[in-house]
Amino acid sequence: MNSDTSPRWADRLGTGSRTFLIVTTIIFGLFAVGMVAGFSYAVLQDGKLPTKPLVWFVFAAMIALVAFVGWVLLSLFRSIHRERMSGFDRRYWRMWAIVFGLSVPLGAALVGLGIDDPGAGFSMMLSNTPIAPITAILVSIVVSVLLIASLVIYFRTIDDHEERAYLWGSNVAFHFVALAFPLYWLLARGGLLPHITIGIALLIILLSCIVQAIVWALFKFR
Amino acid sequence: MADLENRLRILRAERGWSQAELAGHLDVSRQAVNAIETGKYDPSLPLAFKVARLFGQSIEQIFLDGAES
Repeated sequence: MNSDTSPRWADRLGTGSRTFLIVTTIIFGLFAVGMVAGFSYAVLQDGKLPTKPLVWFVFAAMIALVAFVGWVLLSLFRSIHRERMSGFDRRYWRMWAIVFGLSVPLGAALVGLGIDDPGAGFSMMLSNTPIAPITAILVSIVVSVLLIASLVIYFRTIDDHEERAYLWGSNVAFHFVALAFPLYWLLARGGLLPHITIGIALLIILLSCIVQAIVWALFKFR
Repeated sequence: MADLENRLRILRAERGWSQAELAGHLDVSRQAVNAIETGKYDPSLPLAFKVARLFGQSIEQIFLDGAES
């Protein structure tokens, strides 16, 4: 047809599959970039190159993963850009770009900066270590505003079908939480589980988010 | 869950449209069109009216009540 070299696999995917693939590859890409950055930082701190072949193999694998992620993303975006997108698709992709454009840099900044303890990173975020009141207030406001803004943008963009998928996912996730907490409480009283802590509570909420995502995907892509 | 049957796939095929093209005409996702055609999703009333307007037919001519057949 023309000099187009974009792989055919990217052209055959629908909007949902591309979204899923882009989100997944971005997550893997961030992981790989983090590994490469961590390795480089460690080498710089240590002042000498590692001698074990396995270390170099893992490093090379991470570099290859970054390159692969870049290739997948490039292929997907070229495929999306080339084909004629409907008005809905354009709004849908713009919505995801805005949501990720707002949330990913914030999350990366919070984790990377470790809030009040630069370098502590992810462990700091998930610990109960005290933080400055002003930090707590600012982060709470920013996270709340971003979440609400993202949901408003999301619901103004999606169609009936996806709205139904989201609402069913939320419904099942709510019942998961409504069941999980009393069950955990009963089992803890029976001595079968440790007493509930904020960490366990957050873990249950995280599990409910995973349940929500699974049900959403089932209704959206089945 | 969906009791409705519909002629969306037939009407789309008559016009030679792909699911993506029909989705573009209806301003919805391709997954929505696929889910309606396969009977996994009953469209909302506004979307059903939009489908009817697009094909120049009444809702009842496109969406059939499975309970009556």
